Amino acid sequence: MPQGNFYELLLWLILLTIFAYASREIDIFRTIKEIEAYVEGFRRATQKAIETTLKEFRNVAKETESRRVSRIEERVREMVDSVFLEPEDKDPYGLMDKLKHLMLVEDSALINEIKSLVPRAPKVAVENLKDLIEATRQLNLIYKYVEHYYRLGKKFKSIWLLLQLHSLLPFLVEEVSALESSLEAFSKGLPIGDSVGCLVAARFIQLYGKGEIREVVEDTILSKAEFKGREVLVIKAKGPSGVTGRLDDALAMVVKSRREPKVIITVDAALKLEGERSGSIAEGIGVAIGGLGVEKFNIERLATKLKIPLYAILIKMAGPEALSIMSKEIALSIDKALRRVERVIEERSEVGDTVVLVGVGNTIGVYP
Amino acid sequence: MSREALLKRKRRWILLHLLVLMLIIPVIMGLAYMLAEGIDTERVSTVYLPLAILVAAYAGLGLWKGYRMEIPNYRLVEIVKCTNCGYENVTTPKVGDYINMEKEPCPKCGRPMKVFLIYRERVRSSKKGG
Ligand SMILES: [Zn+2]
Repeated sequence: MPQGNFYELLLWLILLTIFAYASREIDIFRTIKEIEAYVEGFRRATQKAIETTLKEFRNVAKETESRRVSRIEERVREMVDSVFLEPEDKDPYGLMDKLKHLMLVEDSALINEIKSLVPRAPKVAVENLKDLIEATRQLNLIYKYVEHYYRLGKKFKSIWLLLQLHSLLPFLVEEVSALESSLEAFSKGLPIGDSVGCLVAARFIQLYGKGEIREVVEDTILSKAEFKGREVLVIKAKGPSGVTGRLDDALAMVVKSRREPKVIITVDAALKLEGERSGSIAEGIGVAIGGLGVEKFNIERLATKLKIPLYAILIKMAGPEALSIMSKEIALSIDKALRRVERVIEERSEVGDTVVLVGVGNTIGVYP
Repeated sequence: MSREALLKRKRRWILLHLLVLMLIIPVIMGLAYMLAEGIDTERVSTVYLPLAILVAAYAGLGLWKGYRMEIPNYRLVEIVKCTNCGYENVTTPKVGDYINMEKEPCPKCGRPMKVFLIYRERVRSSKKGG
């Protein structure tokens, strides 16, 4: 082998090695830069959420002449930083009851805290402030976690950790933008996409209700209606403040105090897949309720014990749509959903039966 | 992302591509001049001219993309409906309005009107204004 060729080959090999190394480094660098941009975006979203919450607190405080404004900022930041510790599930027996207990405690603690800051604020304002705090808290949590993994990946130069985080970003962006757009709705008290289930129930009450609306459990109403010879008991959160009500407790009360319903129908917003149209409607078997699963579990348990069939009507929407002010597509789907509810009642119950219709979701901006 | 952030991004994108385009056009002109006049003895222009044109095309495309970038804009709609005769009135919701809230009496029959729907509608913004 001639000398020149050998050195050339060696040079090429070295160059190739450097190139391979550099391309990996560039890849890591690009991933880091991209994650960095998102982390910064999440930080800004969280900051904006805190500012919006504070502004809303100050507005309410000013309107009701409630309190020295100076303490509010400190307390709001503390509330945003507070955490919910889920119950231990190594022994799952009674887990749902524990979870429910903790949720109720958290709820009332937050409400009391807000009331202590703005004592003279009306209930609607307090509930909406609570929703704002919860959205801000969630944004803050996402931001902190993403930043944690980003820092960890960078510290150990772990491409796998960074790539995993990178691959999760589309879902996180979706969630963050949903929470971000919920701020406007919660501070204005206008209905959101998730309110659609409640709105369908409210329309049903308007159309077929017999006028009587009772608050059977805290923040939850029951209204009697008549539809084609069936007695329909409509359950939904009260509104127009941003509450989801205690639908399972209301249902338990109904079952305890009246004769057993023949059918239970839940109407709720559901996440659509990318290829599906917003506002399209799907029917299903089971209970359509999101959240931590406590209400779903309780309703399923009750229905299973009494062998009551469970039907669901789902109104599809994207994640950000569910938390921002109701879009036109969803608003237009309400009538279609109502027709579906009527059809299900007609087809799956007999004249003279009792049917329970549950409007699920946050009832912000929707009354009754 | 919020509307302001998107607007900022659009502006920055357009500015960047415009800058590149403005820098590359004199270069192309210079190289083309060298090629046409035959003063390019080192044959620099034959290599760099296509490259410069490519960069210019890329920047132009980017500029066009930025120009066409649509920033969603929404407007809030409130439909107030008479419970008796069905008379409808479309307005903008005020803070604190809610569905089924009682509003002023109906101008046609004098019975109470109620908020029927509140939603947001996408406004097709002119591409220029964004
Ligand atoms: Zn009228």
